[in-house]
Amino acid sequence: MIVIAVISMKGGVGKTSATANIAASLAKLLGNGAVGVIDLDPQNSLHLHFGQSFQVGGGLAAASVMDTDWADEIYCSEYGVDCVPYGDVTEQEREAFEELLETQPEFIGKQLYASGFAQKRVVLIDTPPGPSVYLRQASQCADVALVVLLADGGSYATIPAMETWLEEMHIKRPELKSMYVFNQVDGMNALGQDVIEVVRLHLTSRVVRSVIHVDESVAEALAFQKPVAAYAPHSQASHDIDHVAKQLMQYVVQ
Amino acid sequence: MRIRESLSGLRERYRWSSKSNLNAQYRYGLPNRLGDKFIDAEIWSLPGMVLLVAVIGALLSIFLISVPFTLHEQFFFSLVFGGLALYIRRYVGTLITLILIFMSLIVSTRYIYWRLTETFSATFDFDLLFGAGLIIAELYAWLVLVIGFFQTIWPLKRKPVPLPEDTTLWPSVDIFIPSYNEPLSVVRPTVIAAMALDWPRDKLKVYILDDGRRDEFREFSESVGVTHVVRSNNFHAKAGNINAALPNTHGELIAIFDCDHIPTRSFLQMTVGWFLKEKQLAMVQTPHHFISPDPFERNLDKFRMMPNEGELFYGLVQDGNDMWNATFFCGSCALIRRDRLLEVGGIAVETVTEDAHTALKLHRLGYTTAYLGIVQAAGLATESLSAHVGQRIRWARGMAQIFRVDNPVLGRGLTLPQRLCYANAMMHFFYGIPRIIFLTAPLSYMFFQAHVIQASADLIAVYALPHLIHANVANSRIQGKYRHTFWAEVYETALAWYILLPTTVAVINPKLGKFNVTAKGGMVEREYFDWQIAVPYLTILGLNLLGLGIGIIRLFWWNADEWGTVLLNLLWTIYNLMLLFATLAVAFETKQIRRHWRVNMKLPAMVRLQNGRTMSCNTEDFSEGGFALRLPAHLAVEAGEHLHISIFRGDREFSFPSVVAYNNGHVLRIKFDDMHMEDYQMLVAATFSRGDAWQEWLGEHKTDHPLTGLKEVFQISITGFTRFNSLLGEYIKKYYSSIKARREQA
Repeated sequence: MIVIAVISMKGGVGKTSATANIAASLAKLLGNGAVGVIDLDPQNSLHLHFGQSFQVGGGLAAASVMDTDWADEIYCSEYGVDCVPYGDVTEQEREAFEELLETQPEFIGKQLYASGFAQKRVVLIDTPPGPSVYLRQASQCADVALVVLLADGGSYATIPAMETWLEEMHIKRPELKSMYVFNQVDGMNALGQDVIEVVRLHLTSRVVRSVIHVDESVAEALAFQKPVAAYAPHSQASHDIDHVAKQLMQYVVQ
Repeated sequence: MRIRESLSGLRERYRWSSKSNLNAQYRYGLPNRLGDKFIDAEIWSLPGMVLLVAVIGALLSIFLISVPFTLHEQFFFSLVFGGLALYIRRYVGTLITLILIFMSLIVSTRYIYWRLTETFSATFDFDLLFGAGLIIAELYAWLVLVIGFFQTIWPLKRKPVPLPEDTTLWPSVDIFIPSYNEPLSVVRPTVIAAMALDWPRDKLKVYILDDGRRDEFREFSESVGVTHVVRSNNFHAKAGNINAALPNTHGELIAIFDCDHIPTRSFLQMTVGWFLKEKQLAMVQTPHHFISPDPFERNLDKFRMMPNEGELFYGLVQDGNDMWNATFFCGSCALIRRDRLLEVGGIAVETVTEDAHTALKLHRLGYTTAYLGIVQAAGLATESLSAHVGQRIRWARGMAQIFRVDNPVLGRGLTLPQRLCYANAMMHFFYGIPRIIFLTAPLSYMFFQAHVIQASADLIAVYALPHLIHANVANSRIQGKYRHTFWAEVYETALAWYILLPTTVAVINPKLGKFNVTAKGGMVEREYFDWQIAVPYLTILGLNLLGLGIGIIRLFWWNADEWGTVLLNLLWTIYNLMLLFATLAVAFETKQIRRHWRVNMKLPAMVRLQNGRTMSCNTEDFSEGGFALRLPAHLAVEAGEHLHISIFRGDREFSFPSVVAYNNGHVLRIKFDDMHMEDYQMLVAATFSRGDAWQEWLGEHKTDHPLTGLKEVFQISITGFTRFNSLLGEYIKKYYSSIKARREQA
């Protein structure tokens, strides 16, 4: 099992959409059921990308607090990706869950193995932006930290903080790899192109070669509760995500 | 290298590099196995063995060439030899190529020997007069065949040499782009692409050598940051232009691009390595590649469907020359070392083909030249037949001038192979007279009953036919990928009349005649028949038609005692008619309406609509005006709608604001909105100057079969025949209606 933690220092970079779409693309690549996603973001929106508007179980937060197995919380979507949603929880439940995570730093990792996700080829964990208990949990069990960036000044400014954090992580867990991917890139934006060029120059092979272009289809796909590959297979974003997924796998296998 | 090593080297090389469409049975068949055994045989290691075999081979050849045969013996000999050649030609391998060449040499030389010794009129008469002309033409053809075999026997197929990691070791380079009267729109992409060459910025300078001294060019140069160079006179045209720029520039290497040859960004990366490796190297030449059809391709509607006229030279001949250190400089898409160039006094100005003459001077001083058969630039072909003819006249005149003022066969400093390569390059342009002789020779019998070959028809047949068959089989083997059989005859026939006079004049007085610049980037606005070009051929065609008529009459009704000879001459006349009608087909100029040429190129692309949706797709073709995109699915846009197009080159994205010109659901054609200089630079970077732009060019065509070549030429000639007939019909109609109109007025 390869665990990829999808992280960012800054909100609004399209991280959740990227996680869902990359997962769907990996499922096309590796086969139905080979890919799982875990939503560690209290926004609880990851499952929406896989056609789950209705609530089946309570989600992983509630299940964890009640000390039950995650196995009942797994949704097998029609897009070949199995998803464990965060769940719709009350404020008290969330606080209780976060306290649990605080006290047991390897809780998520253990749950992953207990839930049957251990058979998956790849598991992606979506995290909320910035430092949090969720980020700590994800980085404890991940093989790869995938950093999602926008090609703008704001994202660029967060890179030093991200690199410092990754370095600290690296001391604890030397096996943790890290990769950067650009999301919502606009080819007409000169600043954006420059940012990409500069980041590539500094981080060299740690930047995924393909970028994900800004594309209205991604937002529209969410409205239709589908991965973009299912909603608009010929869109540029869909092609980009396929490339990113492939390059990610190549990098991980290395 | 010893012959055994060289032969096994040849064998291996051919076996592994051959992309021939032949089956495995022709790779490992009996002739291949026998060949391997022959090469690997132990006897070659015995001292003196190679010499012994060579001597025996030479004696045997002399015997086969000169032994007199009766009609039946010659027939039997031809049957065995020809059958063997036709059998082994299907098998792969350089050894077999060499055997085919050897067989062709024997049979063709045997024919010439027989012609010289047995077929001459004993007395000085009419027959001798015509016969002498024919034998001179035949000797010429034989000589070109033999030297041609030598020239292309082992194409070197040089590969690029990688540059050192340390860029401080890389030499500085000046890019010269000479221009005289071409519009800025033609020169602009070349300059932009030259600036985008992959090379350290501080070691690359671009110069526009503007012999037109135009303000527009000066302003453009300033706006993009290249140097605009002018001089006070226009002496010696392009050569003088380049020489005038030499004292004020300082790059160690000079790259020269005709103003319409757009280089790819990898040009210097590919070529410079050899200069660092080989200290004696003075010049590296790369192919000239054309993105628009030449007049032959356009008027015959054969663009990219078969090798064009230039492909033989850049695909095979230059690579063959390279083996003998005789690569010619071709004036553009080449890199020269400044110090070597200065040593020979700059670009040669004594002749109108300054490029070939400069290379000759470099070779005389013992410097080497190299050919790299990788397309690293693309340009426009000449746009009309008359312009094409004009260019060839210049080449022919120039080569004839070199022959006179600086004869490579006799002058000092050259190796024997170099002399032969230069001799062939020059002789090649003297085909004017021989070609006209071949086109008219059978008529001397039809009209005057001159026996140009003093032999019976059946004897001529058993000598001449094997010669023609062997020569074509061997040539098709060597040249097949780069020129289809019989097409050389079409090209030569079309040009023969026009280069006849210039070459003759230049040989008599090399100073006569003036330099004409080849016009490019223009339009042929309507279809027309180029009468001026066609008149000499119409004359010869008329004579041949008359000859055909007389021949048919003589076959059955009148003077029918020599029916064999009549039949032979009839066949020859018919063959000539085929070539002449094919030439006429070329003279019908078809429309060339687009100012910007569309270039077929499949590039990854993206469409972004105004509503933010995108579609990933590929380009079909591009021009300076816009792109055509092949859509993977329906896209709801209509003509006039604005959108963005992105083209990808590796990691880089080039984005262009555009307008939809046309959308049929499968193909979307877009025009660029107003382009600024920056957009334009991006367009050139995304398209013309890509390193992989013209990668698949050389040798992309299937190896031909001689009979397929004949079929192609026949079809073209039928086209010429029908087009000309309908044209005549129109003229006759017009003539009658004008007579009618006049009568009615009266």
